[in-house]
Amino acid sequence: MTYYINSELNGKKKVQSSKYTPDQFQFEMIRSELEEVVGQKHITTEGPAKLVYSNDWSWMPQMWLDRGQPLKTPDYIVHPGTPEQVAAIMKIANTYKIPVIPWGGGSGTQGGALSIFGGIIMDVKRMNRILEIDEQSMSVTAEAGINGSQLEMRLNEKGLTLPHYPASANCATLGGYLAPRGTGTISTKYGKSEDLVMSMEVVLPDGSIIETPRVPDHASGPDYMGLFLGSEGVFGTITKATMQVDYLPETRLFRALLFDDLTAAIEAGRRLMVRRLDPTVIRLYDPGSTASRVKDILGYKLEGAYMVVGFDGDKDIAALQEKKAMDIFKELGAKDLGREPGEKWWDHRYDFYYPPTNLKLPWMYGTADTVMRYKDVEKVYYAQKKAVEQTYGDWNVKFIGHFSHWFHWGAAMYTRFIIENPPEDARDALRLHNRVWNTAITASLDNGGTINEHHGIGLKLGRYMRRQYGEAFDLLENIKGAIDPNGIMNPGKVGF
Amino acid sequence: MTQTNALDTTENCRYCLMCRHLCPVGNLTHNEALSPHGWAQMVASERRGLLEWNEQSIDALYKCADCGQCESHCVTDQPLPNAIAAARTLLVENGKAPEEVKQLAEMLTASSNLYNGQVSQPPSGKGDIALFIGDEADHFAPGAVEAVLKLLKNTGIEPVLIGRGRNDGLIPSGLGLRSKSIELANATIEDLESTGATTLLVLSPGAFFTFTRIYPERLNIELDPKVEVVEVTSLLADKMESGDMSVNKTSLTDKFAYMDPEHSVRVPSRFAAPRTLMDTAFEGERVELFWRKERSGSGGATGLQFTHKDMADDLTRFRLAGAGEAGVKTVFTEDSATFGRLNQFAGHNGIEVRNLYQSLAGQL
Ligand SMILES: Cc1cc2nc3c(=O)[nH]c(=O)nc-3n(C[C@H](O)[C@H](O)[C@H](O)COP(=O)(O)OP(=O)(O)OC[C@H]3O[C@@H](n4cnc5c(N)ncnc54)[C@H](O)[C@@H]3O)c2cc1C
Ligand code: SF4
Ligand code: SF4
Repeated sequence: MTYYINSELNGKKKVQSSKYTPDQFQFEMIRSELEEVVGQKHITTEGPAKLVYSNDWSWMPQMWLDRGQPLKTPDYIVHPGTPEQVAAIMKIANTYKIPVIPWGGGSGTQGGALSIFGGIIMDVKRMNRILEIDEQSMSVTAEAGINGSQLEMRLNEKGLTLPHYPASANCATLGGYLAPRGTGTISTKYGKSEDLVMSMEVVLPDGSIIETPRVPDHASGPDYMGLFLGSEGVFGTITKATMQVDYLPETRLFRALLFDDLTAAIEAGRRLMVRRLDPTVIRLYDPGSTASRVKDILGYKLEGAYMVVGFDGDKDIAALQEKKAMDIFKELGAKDLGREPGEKWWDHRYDFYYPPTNLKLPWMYGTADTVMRYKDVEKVYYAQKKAVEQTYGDWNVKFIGHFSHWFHWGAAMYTRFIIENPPEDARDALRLHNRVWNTAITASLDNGGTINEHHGIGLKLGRYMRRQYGEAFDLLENIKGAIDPNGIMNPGKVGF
Repeated sequence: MTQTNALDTTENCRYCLMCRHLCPVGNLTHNEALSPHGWAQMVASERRGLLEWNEQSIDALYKCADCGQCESHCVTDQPLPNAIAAARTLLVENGKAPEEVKQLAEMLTASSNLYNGQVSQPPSGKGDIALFIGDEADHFAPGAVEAVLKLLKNTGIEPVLIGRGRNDGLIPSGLGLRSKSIELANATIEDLESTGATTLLVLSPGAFFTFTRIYPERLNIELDPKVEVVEVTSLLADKMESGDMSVNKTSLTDKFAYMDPEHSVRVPSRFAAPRTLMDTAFEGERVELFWRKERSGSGGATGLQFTHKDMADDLTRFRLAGAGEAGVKTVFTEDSATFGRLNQFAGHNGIEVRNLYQSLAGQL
């Protein structure tokens, strides 16, 4: 590039040919400081890496790139190896007031790890050690960047399991399990990631390193650990966590059932939960999913609502729980499809999310998962379905869903909208996408649901936070302002 | 498979993260760009005009080890390594290959050997059974070929030797040197045909994979269907089990382990054979390593040795560290390249690396 300065005479005078732009000076200064912290090997500013880190697993950036449009990229990608390095990076970021975005596996679906204002992507995967497996207290302490499946394989070697089984275990990290309050296939029995965590180490935006108490249940003041669960990087970086583990179960029993209608099926799930029969899993597909996803992936052509129920643990106890559940199913008129379709579902449970049977570009799709009390379950489901189907009928929108996780008081719903022929232009597609989300989230919030159940808020749903929390969002904003006065921690996410 | 078909794989992989937990380069670098979906995204982005092949991006593309973990664990059998190889082939054809790759091309033109510049030896005769030696055995594990011949002789087999000193084509094909690989493959097939053999013995899973999968999938070359490719370990294990062969059992005092060699994961049917050999030949505490069998990973005995030596060395150290963590004092492996590389770094970890073929031959 060539630079000019004004000469004494008219016009411009060429002074030199230069290799770098003026911005490069500041860029290199910061880079040198970051290098000092993590070492040259653990920082990258190269084009290909910036491209790959410019998108996570959310539909919006993927669509944008798919349509050949470039995204805002991070300026630096750093791989800290210790919490102290994370802290030092935070100090540099505060000095220069540049954004820091924690990055685990980049498998988030809400755009939470996007560097929409550039800045530093802090990829935590280098912090991936297992620090302790305590078989007496049944817990594992590991660094937050450990890959979910690798952690599980290590635990399995000892006959143990971390009973958080998200479909993304192969790609997500421990920190990424916790930051958006994830849920796994067997959370109905074992709890969500937030129920399994015992303690955490977090590096705050100002660089201080804090640890929560060793045990999660106590009466020693407020539970500030909860602040970081669901914070998706806006309150700090999780660097370590202690999680409860379980023994690999002696048995896992699965069965499939078919209900004529959703009402009876939801009631069956509710009864199992309020009777505390402790099912490992209750997966209930609405008639739309039964006719499409269950058929395409499991090969069963059925009409009605397909349910898979599972029990695990000691053989005799699991068998008894299953027997009691079967009585309930019978009372409610369910058809018992037997074990084989239940076991097949378990074996293929992740195929629903993988190529080639997953939803793929150039389609438009979104998962509007939400959670509500039993009394609102059907209300939310039908309100979302009606609103989405009616508003976007011209786009031939498909609306399907399943009920994935069940609590003593309610259930989580995993609904999806799919538009197979969305606008080709990236901007038009993004607009339509955001409108569909508006419709779906409004229907949830108006009828007793929440913005989200397990994928988190990220960039995509931040605009609904105030709507859900009302005045209480001021409290969260005040906390954010107090611990991150420069607003550098994952800006633009979770409504901040 | 055409180049374009192979490249289409990247359309599936670009946003799929499902094999990344087993990608050794991803695990080593923790860098998203250096993982299966990272490479796929690069190739797909170049096709969309979002990335150009320049020094940085070409360098990144050449950091995939072509180890096969991703494909072997793919949820839908996507041949991602073939797609990466196809993208590299286009770079080579457009004169954009990295300098190291250009040098290898020259070396192969002069010698057919990646390591010592020597010309390969002609077939040693005619016979029903041929043994492909390649260019790695004599380079990485002098004496290993003689050990194999001794073992085979013990079972009554005296194979014709082919391709001694000639690369099998796996590494060059992965580096995008497709036409060189085709030349190598054709020369080997010619040798094989001249022997009249219907059984082709190979010394490693990498060679097995090359003859059975790389030839047809990357090079559009089929071996004569009458020819059966058999790994020497599988043959020896069968002979041990049937009682046609035996060795004197040696007792080891410290913990020891078998290390699945480079490309093992691409031939899952082979996991049992070397373990049978180990259990027949050694007594003591044999442990299984964490990075074993279907998740065994790369030890750096791939094209990375030539393009990114530091990374190849780190991969080798990583595998040794795994053995160290398991408290293992002796590691056995039979593939010469894997053996040679492990051996080069073993001292640092206080681990002894032994060539399985040579150990067995010594116990006959
Ligand atoms: C195929 C597929 C299936 C999925 N299935 C499930 C499922 O079954 N259940 C489920 O809950 N989710 C699922 N997800 C969503 C996603 O994988 C999870 O939310 C996952 O836990 C995210 O982890 P990650 O390490 O990839 O986080 P990232 O995507 O890297 O980050 C997610 C958010 O958390 C923040 N973050 C990451 N690490 C840290 C840290 N150490 N400290 C602070 N903040 C951090 C990021 O800034 C970002 O805002 C799925 C995703 C895919 C691609
Ligand atoms: S071939 Fe190996 S290094 Fe390359 S993407 Fe696949 S797993 Fe990773
Ligand atoms: S090889 Fe398979 S599992 Fe790996 S990224 Fe491609 S499609 Fe996904």
